[in-house]
Amino acid sequence: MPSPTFLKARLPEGVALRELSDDGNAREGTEIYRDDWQLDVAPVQWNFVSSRSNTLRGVHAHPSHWDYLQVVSGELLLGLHDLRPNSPTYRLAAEYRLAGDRPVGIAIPPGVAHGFYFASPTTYLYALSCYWTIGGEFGCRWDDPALGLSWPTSDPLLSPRDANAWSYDHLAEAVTGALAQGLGLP
Amino acid sequence: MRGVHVHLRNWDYVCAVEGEVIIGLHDMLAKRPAVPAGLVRMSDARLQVLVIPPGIAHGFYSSGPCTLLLGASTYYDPADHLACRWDSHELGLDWPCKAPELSARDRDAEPYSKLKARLRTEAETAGG
Repeated sequence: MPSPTFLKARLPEGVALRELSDDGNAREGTEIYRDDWQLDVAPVQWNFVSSRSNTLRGVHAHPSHWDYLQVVSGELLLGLHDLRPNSPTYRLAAEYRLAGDRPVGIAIPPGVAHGFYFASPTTYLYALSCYWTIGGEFGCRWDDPALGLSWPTSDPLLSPRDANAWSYDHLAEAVTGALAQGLGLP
Repeated sequence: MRGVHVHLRNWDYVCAVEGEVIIGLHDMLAKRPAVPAGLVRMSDARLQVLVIPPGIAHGFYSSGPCTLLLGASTYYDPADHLACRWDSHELGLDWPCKAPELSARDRDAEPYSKLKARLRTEAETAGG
């Protein structure tokens, strides 16, 4: 069960945080995922990612798949913003810090926009509930003020796609449209 | 050194995401192994995955810090976690180490011959 200390941060509805410990049944290593944890995410694909200092990935939102991520080493500042009009936490923004020396797994539902910032070299894993396709990736500018996220950087390294991403309003409209078409409403 | 271990039901899926690991493999079940025992080197310089079927004994040796990801097809079951001494000569594994750090369980693991006999019994029971 997640430790209560992790739940002080108010997170968008459906975002699940789970403390990972190495004293379970595995005896060797830290269990990062088990089917019988019954998270809402059922992974079909796992990716391993290395990021350099001052990299920002995002902000992305997926209309149909869940993400489940864990930091292996380093530190990730996670920015979240709820874009689901039917959610009780619609438009809630939240920030959460994940560090490799205190591992947690966090599941992010469809329709919750997310960005990752790495102040130092960081490696992390993420699992997807659907195979990755470019069509499943919506995004907006990381620094759009409407996100309500205060990143600790003014000039991060961005992918070309993230640098040229939509505005918040454009993303919000696209996500609302995709969710209304039944592409992943909770 | 972690190992040498073998499972009768579980498949392992291994990826070295940080550092380097040398994996020793030895077929415990085949009467005449299709592939001889040997060592495989994996490192973060070129990500690869290794799939280890049931019956293939395996040990992991790292000379430095290393982070391994391990996917398992079954939940951890001590009854399916059999082991023998990493330095049993019958394994035919030419490890690049003399006195590696071992877990208590791996240090006290039984010799190869006992594991082989145990597997024979298990296979007969399952087949039988």
